[in-house]
Amino acid sequence: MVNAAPLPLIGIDDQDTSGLDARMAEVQEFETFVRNYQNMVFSVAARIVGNPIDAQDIAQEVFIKAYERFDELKESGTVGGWLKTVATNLSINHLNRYRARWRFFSEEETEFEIPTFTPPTDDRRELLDLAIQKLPDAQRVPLVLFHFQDLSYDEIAEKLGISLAKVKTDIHRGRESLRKILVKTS
Amino acid sequence: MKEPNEDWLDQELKGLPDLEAPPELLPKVMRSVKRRSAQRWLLSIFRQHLPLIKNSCLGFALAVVVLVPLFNPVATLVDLLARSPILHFLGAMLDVGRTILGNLRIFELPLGWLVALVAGFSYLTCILAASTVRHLATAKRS
Repeated sequence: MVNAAPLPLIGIDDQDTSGLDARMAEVQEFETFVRNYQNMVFSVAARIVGNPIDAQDIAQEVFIKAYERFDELKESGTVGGWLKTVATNLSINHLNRYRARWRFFSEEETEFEIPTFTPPTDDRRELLDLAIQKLPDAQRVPLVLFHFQDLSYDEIAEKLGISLAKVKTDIHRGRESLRKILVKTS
Repeated sequence: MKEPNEDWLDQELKGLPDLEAPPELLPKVMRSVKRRSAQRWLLSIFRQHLPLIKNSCLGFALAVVVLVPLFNPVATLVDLLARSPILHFLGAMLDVGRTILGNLRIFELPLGWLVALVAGFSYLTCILAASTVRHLATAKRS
């Protein structure tokens, strides 16, 4: 009797199966990554666009972009900053695309009526978040970029394509409106 | 709540925690990611085996070049078609049609000529009608 060595399987080599395992591992690793950063990315988008449904779509787009560069990002120490920047840019693009540009970024002033609403909560932080959502785009976006993204007035002016003076006025007005909304609501 | 002053607002804005992402965000993201991951994996397998695929295609092309003169598949196909009863029937019907169109005369004109004239005239009428409708629609819009 001849002892024959086992023949290698043609077509199903070790490289293919290990590739599949690596893919599954990468997907799992990315899931953990999304879990860790989803609140941050969603917050950036929701505060800029002022609408949780649009913010969810934007957050999804951000994570898909992150997945395309996941090999670089997981090694990088500035992943949080990268995600914030992409979320900010996509949110601003979203506002530009879906709303009339002249209303959002123009130098024209529009009268903002302080809204009255019944707060669903007594928590002042939730109340503040709701008040931010109620601000008009022209006031909310520079205010959020200034307070939450820590951008300078110059950077905001450049990002939004408006003058420095308009940025300062809008942030000031945003804060005033926020104060009035909070007083009115309480 | 007392009236919030500037310092209070600054502190609150600074200390505002992240909003909670909706629970459906993660499954939505992961669905898209899994789809993309599968595409990427298939592409990588394709790229990995590209030389093998190229060589197989080349081998197949060479085999075709060598085998075609030996087996002459075109002649086989023509033979097969020529033996088909449907094609025989179709040929006979075409012969009958040609005879009728060539020999039957109406007002001293062969039927074939009349059919061709009527078809041509209908075609021209359709073209004329379509261009008139288009012209009228453009005129109405402007």
